Amino acid sequence: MKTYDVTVNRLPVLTWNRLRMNETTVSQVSVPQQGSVTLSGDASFNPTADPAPFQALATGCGPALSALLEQAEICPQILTLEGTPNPVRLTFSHEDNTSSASCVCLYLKENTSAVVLMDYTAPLSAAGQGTVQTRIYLEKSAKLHLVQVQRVGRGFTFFNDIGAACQESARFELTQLILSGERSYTGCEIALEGADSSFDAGVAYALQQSDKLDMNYVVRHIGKRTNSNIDAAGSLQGNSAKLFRGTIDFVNGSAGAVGSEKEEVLLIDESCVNQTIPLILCAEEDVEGNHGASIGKPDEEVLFYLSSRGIPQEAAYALLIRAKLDAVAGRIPQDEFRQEILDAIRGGAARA
Amino acid sequence: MSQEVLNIAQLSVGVEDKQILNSVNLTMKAGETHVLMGPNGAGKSTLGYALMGNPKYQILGGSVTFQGENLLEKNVAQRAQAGLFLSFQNPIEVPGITLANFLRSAYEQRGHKISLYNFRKLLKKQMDFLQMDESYMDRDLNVGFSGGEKKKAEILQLLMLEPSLAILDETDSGLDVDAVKTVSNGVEAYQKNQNGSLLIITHSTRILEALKVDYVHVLVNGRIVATGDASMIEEINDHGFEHYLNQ
Repeated sequence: MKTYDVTVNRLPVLTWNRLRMNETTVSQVSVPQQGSVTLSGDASFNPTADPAPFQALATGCGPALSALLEQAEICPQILTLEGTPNPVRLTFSHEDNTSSASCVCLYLKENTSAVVLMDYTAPLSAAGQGTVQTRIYLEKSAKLHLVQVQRVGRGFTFFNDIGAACQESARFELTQLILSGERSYTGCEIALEGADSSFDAGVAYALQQSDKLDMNYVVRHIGKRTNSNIDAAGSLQGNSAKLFRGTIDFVNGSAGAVGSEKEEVLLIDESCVNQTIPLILCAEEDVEGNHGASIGKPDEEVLFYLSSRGIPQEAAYALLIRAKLDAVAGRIPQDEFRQEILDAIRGGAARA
Repeated sequence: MSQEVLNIAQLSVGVEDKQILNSVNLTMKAGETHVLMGPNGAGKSTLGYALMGNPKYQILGGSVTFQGENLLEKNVAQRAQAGLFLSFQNPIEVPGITLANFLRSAYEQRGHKISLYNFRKLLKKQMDFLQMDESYMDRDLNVGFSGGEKKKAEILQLLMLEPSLAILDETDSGLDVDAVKTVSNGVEAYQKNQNGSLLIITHSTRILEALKVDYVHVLVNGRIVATGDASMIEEINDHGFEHYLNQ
């Protein structure tokens, strides 16, 4: 099978090349087959819907991944949501030793309020390649809570790519949990085009062994008084490595906009590698951008306290790792799915 | 005759190259309540931390036998699993881990298998007893708890984990009268229900009013300078530690 090098997750403004954080080139990427998506809930894909609103959307992983999907003739599946539909669940199943991709487009009409749950699954022992690209268009005052849970095989290379545009007063909430996968590439680019539109992301991950996670979140504040918040939290064990890129871009005209990004990283072992690059771009004076990070080993006093109740060090680490995942899983707005994911976390889906 | 639970012999402890405890000897039997009193900086909390195995404290000499086994050979978790409990003077806040999840993990480490439903039922029963609002169960451990709720949470852990020896380090400090009463009730319940042994480190005597105290020790400058019965509490209450300072 022919494979390619695909460059993803490029920073909007580059920094020194020697840091090797500007972008990531993923080797041995194969051309995927059309992936399998199971849709449950009241909604159904609309094969006659107009794909035009989605075509101009930039995504976080970037044009090279989109080009690969085009080359593979991956067919976009459009879901149009209106009113207050029941939560929609999409399950993307992946088999061992396969390479598949799906592209889902979500169109939320004016004043729609919807919850969409995306579950990326594969047997935990499986290896392979998976890609899910999600393109989102929110009309005026639409509200979307998108939940994405990656629980694919331990040997999987996985691309999870989002591109979204929000019109006036639209709100996009994103909850992402990366529980497994050997090489994970997560991209997310949001254009807050309309005034008073907003984006709020909660992201959690647990990496072990030689796992690699490469992230690129870009929020473009275009409309006035737009608001964004990105909270990413996770843990690194073994020889795992994580690179977080978070960009808040205040475009000229985004007066009154506020953007924040925060990272919490728990470094369990000396051999893990953590890289973080927060970037705030400002072409407008009347804006507020914040970033903060808490990165380090587990607190000795906390470990002593947990141990003093009979919890051994390894179990204490597992509790602290799980705490990061549980906090983000707690955002899942549907009880049944939330409990399923909390159970999966407790059962070791993240090897915590 | 009651079985010996704890035997501390010639224990010397230091922290950051400074010796704090100097040849401390103390023996406790099952079900006994010992009170350790002394002025600030005498080394009372050091003894509690050293027994629990806090890595900041170095054992400079001596031995500690707990239920017939060498305590100092065990790591912190093994000491707890063996039945030792330390109630912290300043309980640590642990963001992200709920009180219920933390306690269930600790409970399961003692070999108990219990369903989530039954565990929460048991936890609620003890929380009711301690007049703790049920909502604390699902709050992050000690995060945003008032001083009184933190101390109640410590006693809740004591009641749930049922150790054979509990060291209470200034558990009554910073509590109002009602909270002291509630905490005392919890300690009394532990003492009666578990036949648990207690080593109570305290400045004040409020928490002792409802308890049957067997022995009182006075620690000054890292040494136990006096040991007596419960009548010493009243004597110290009236006259302070001055009498012991030059011993």
